Amino acid sequence: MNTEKIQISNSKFKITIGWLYPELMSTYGDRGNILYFQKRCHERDIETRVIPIDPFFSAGQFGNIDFIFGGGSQDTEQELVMRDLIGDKSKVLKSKVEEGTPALFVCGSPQLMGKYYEPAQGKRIKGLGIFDMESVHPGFAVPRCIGNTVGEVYWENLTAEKRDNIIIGFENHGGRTTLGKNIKPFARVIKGYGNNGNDGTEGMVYKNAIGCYYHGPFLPKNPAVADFFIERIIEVKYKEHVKLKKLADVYENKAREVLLRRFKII
Amino acid sequence: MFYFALFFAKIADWLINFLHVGSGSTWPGEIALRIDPYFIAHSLTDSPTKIILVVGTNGKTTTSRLIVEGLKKARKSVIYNPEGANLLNGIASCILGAYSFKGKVAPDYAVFELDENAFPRALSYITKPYAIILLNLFRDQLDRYGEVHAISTHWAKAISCLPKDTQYFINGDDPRLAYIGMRSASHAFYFGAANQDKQKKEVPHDVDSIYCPRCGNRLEYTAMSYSHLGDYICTSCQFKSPEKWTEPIRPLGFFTGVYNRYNTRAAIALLYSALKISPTEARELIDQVKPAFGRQERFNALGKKWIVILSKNPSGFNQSIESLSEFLGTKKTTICLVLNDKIPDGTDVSWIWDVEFEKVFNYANTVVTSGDRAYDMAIRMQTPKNQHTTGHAVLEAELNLKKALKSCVTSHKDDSVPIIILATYTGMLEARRLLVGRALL
Repeated sequence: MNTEKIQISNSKFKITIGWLYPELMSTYGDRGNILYFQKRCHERDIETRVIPIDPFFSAGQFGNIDFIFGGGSQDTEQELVMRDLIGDKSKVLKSKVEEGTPALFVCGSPQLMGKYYEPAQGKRIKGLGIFDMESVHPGFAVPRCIGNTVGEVYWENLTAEKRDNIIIGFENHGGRTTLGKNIKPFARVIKGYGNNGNDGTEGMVYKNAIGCYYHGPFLPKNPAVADFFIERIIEVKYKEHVKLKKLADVYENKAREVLLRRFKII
Repeated sequence: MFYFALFFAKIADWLINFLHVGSGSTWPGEIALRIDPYFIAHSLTDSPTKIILVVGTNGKTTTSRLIVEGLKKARKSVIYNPEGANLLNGIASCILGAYSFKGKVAPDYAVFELDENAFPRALSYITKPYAIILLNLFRDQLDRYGEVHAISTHWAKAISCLPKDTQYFINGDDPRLAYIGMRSASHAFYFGAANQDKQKKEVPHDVDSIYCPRCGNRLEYTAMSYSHLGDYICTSCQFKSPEKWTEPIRPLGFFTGVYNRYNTRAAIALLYSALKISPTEARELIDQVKPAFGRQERFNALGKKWIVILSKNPSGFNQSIESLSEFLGTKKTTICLVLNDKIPDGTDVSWIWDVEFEKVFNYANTVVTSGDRAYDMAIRMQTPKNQHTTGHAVLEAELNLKKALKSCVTSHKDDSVPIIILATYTGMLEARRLLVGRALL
C-alpha cells in the first residue's frame, strides 16, 4: 500500500501509522490491523495516514510516526527485512519504542524485537534487542503451535484502565519465546499455546509496545485493543486524555460471542 | 506382497461399490498402501500408461478435467483421480479401479492431480511420469501447507531426481516455477497469459513471489496478470521470464476469468504436444467441456439462476471477484460469501484480509455473508480499503446457510443476472447440497 491519506475536515487529531515492510511482512491477513485501525479512527473523525517503513524509508522519517505496526513474515522475507533494518533504522526504531511510541507487533515480528531468534536450521539471528526476551525454535520434530487462541489481557501492565480483557485470535508459530526480567506478559493464556506452551504467558508488553503470537487480523477481532491504541497514541502525541465515542460493534460482538461459545468459554 | 495388496484392496473396492457407501472413496487405496507401501510403484512397473501429473495451488481440478475430457474426445483411454482425492491414497484407489479381477487393463493415459505436499512424495513412487504440469504457487492454508518458499524447494528437489526425458509444462509467468524449470527440467515448455490478460497496473496485495528466486532482489514487472504472475526481470542477477507461449487462444464458453485461461492454456499445451496436433485442434477437443462441480457451476434453484464459485485462498478469491464482470457486465446482483473454517477450508481465516473484497461492491446491491465465520466476513466487508467507497450495498450476516440462501432469493431483484455464491470448500459443498439437493462426497 502506498502512502494514503484519509481527509476529514476539522479533524483535531491526526495519526501517522508506520507499517513495517508491508510487502515483506504481510504473511496472512496482517493488513487487516491497519485497515481496521483506520476504520475505527475514521469513525471518531481522527485522520490517519500510513507510511510504509521499507527500503525507501529513511531513519529520519521516524520522527513523524505515531504508531508502529509489524506483521509476520516467512523465513526468506525475514532475512531481507533484517538486511535492510540494521544500522540507523534499527537504532531509531529502538529509541522510538523506548520513548513510548505505541506499537503493535503480531505473529513473527516480536521475535525480531527480542535479543535473538534461534531458527530450526541455520545460525542464531540477532534481534533488535528492544524486548528483553529470547526465542528458540525447538526443531522441526517438535510440533508447531497452531490453532485458535483466547487470552486474558493484563491491562495493568499497560497502566490502562479496565476494559474488555478477553482477546481472541489464531496462532501459528514454531519458535518458543521466554520473557526476561525487564518485560511483562501481555496476557494470560486461556486457550492455545502462548509464548512457549509452558508458562501460560501470551505476548509481551514494554512501555507502550505490545507484541503477541496472535497473527493476522488481531485488531478486527479485538476492538478493545484497537481503541486502547487510539487513546494511548493521542495521549502520547497530544498529551490529552480522551474518551472515545463508543461504536455499535454489532458484528464484532457477535463474532466474538460465536467463538467464545464454540470454545465453551461463555 | 503386491498381489496380496491388490487382492484385498480390490475386494474392499468392490464391497464399497456394491454397498454404495461412498463412491470415489480413498479407502481401497489406503488399504493397498497399508499392505504394500510401494503399491503405486509396483503397479506402474513396465506399464505403458503415460502418467500426467498436475500440481499447483489453484486450478488443478479444472486443468485435469480439461485434459481428461480432451484425451477422451481423442479416443484415448484415461484413468484419473476424482478431485478431493489428490493424496497418495486417492491415486492408489484410482489405479485399483483400472484393474479387473482377471488382470491388468492398461489405459493410454493416467491423469493425477496432486496436493502440494503429496507431489514430492508421489514422485518417489511415480518415478517415470510422462509429463508434469506446474500451474502456480500461491499462499494457501499456511496452517496446513507451510510457506510458499518451502514448498517450491521440496518440488525442485523432487523433480531433480526424475529422468531427463520427463516433459514439463510450466507457467512461466510464476517466477518461482520458472526458476524450478530452469534449474531442474531439461524439457520444459513454458506458457503464459496472453497480453490482453496482463493489464494490472500496480502490484497487487496478494503477491508471494515478487522477489528474485535466485538472488533475493525485488523483481521488476513489465506486465502483470494477477497476484505475482507476469513478465519480470531481476535487474541485479538478470534472472527473467523464460520464452513463453502466449499466443491468444479463443476462450472456452463455460470457463470465465484470467485464471481459467491459464488452466485452459496448460491443458491445450499438454494435449497438442501429447497428441501431436495443432493448438487449434487441441482447443476444439475441449470446446464443450463444462466446469467441475462448484467451479463456476451454473444451475437453477428456488426459481433463480445461480453460479457457485469455489474460492479458497486470497489469489483464488481475488480471481473469482475479478471474473464477476464477465458474468454480470455492468449489472449488479446479490452476492453470497460463505466462509467456513473446517479442516478442508483451513481453520485459519485470517487470509480474508488479503482479498480485495472492496471490489465485491462493484457487482453487488446486496451482500449476504454466511458460514461458520459469517461475522468475521461481515467485519471485513465493513472495512474497505478506502473509507469513501463502501458502496451502497445492503450487508447482511447470517450464520445459518439455509436462511442466508433464502435471504438471497428475497433480496434478488434482477432475474437477468444470476445470484452468485463465492464459497470456501465445505461452504461450496453445503450450498450445493441445499440448492441442488444432493450431497456429492
